[in-house]
Amino acid sequence: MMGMSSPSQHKLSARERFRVRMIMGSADVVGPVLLVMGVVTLLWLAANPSQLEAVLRMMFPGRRGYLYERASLMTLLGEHLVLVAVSGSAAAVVGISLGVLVTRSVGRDFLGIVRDLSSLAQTFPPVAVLALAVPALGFGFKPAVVALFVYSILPVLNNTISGLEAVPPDIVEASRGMGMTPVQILFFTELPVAARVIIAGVRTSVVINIGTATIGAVVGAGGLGAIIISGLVRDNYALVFTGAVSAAVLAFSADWCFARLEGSFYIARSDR
Amino acid sequence: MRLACEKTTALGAVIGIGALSLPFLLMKENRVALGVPYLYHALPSGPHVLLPLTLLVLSLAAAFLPERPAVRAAKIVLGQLYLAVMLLALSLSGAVLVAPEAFGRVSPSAGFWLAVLAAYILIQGSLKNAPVVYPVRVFIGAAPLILAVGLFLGGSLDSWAVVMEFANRRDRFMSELSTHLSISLTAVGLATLIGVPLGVLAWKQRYLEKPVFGGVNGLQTIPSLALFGLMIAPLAYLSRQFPLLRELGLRGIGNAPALIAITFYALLPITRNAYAGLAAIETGVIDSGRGMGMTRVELMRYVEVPIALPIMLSGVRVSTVQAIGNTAVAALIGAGGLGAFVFQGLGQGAPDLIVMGVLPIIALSICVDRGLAVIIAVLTPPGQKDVLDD
Repeated sequence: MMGMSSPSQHKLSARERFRVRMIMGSADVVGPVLLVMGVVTLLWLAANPSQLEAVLRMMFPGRRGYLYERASLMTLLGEHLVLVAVSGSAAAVVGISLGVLVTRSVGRDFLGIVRDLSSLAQTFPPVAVLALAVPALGFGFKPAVVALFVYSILPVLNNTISGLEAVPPDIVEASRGMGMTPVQILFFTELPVAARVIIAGVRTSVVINIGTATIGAVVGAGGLGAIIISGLVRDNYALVFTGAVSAAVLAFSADWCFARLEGSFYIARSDR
Repeated sequence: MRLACEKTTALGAVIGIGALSLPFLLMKENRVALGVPYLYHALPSGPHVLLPLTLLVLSLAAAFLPERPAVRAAKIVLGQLYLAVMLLALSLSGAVLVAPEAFGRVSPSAGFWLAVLAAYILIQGSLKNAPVVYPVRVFIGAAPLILAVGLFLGGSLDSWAVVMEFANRRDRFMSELSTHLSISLTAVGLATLIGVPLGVLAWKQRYLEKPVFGGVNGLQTIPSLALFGLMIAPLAYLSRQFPLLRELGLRGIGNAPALIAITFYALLPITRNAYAGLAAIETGVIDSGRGMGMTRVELMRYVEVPIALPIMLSGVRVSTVQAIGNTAVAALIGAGGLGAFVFQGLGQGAPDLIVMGVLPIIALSICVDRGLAVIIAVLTPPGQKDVLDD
């Protein structure tokens, strides 16, 4: 998930260079193709429950139920997406704003304590935060959204702070020299330079969010977890499989989209 | 004259004052009854509300004093006293409220938890830059926890609903705790055995870098519950086909799928940091070691291992914390561990049982995280201190 600095310590022979190019090149093509195939298949099967049942009957012969009676796969997929989209986007807005606030001169006093608190809170397992929503707020969709929102703030906040702190001071200095106001410097210099790191934080937060939302079914939030849990309880692997594969496809697609977005931004480098 | 204000302390004090105006504890007649909220000043026992209020006002005043060691120490002491008063009020009032009821119990409410946050900000805000050595700082930071554990062991928190849930399950708690630890630690051990060679391989053979990291990245992208679910069917099939595997304990439900899935999860941080550890050894350092006449073994002993080991260990640290959390989820596929209490509580609609399961999971994560951080800090050579943060 983090960017690797690729080392160029030893020179490669022509043959090694060929192998590197072949493997890396094919990975760049195979990944997206598989992903698109997965997404299309998932949506098609979700839209055609009879086909989904036929596929599952083929894979897990001799069982009684293949489909979840309480909701269609499409509905569950929709619930899952809403759960993640609402909590994730709110968390991104709050996380980035808070990160900006504590790196300005007004809020810099709070930088230390905010960083401490968020690294302490990131030690909490996501499932713990989700489970605590029940004693604090009760069962259902809304408490789950709040719990996911709170936990999703942390990676965004951490990366916003480190992204803004890593903006080379000479760039900020140059912007000030050009007569830009502090607000202009923030929006046209600092945020664009830090964008890559910030988006990486949003990416981590969304992937964790999708995973945690899957467990959200145990606090009554619905989503794809409902079908997995129901399958586990009834010892029905067809249901577990449907839910697990759908959740994995969702997570991979989100990760891939954010990875593209992240890659489209400039990497900040300081000479110092 | 312009007054300089230390904002962190001021924030802590304001939150602390706000906490006093929220419900401090809930009194319940039995396990599933709705609680009756009590504000701090309405508590039947414990220090008068003016005591915590005075402590907070003093902290607020101290925020406007210039930063001197004495002022800083005073702020820390005020924060500690405030938290101690809160704990005392909780345990004294709990005992008084519960006494007439056969099944009565109390739980701390929003006000108490906000007070804990306020105390954390008051104490940590001043402790952060204090010129005291690391172990002393840890001890000061942990003092309220020590007090809480003391109250718990001394029986002063027996009216607390979470403690009651615990008392009813003391034996099972210990066995679930050891299951939890053994699953997490075994998975991290396995992941270290697989992940470190993988990271070294990715470093040595550049064409393997992308497939290796693509693979371990992909494993961590899959939602944990989905990965557990995906493990079940193949393992159930294998154990049906090969009775020998079944005898070894490899079944669809239980420890085996959990262990495999958690090991997969733990691979990414360990592999990534094994790679990063090797990447941190600059060729110049090796050359100067060689120039000093070091043999191959000496180079490893005095140069390579000291540089790479702390970085590799911080991968193990991240993995272990994650594994403890993932083991909690594994209770859903019948692996046991502390997550079993959490999901049991969710199933029964018993909030206190949920908290009883969650608190030790969080405590375990924090202890492991901080413990390994200390070990890593000790092992890091002075010249590398800036490489590792926290």
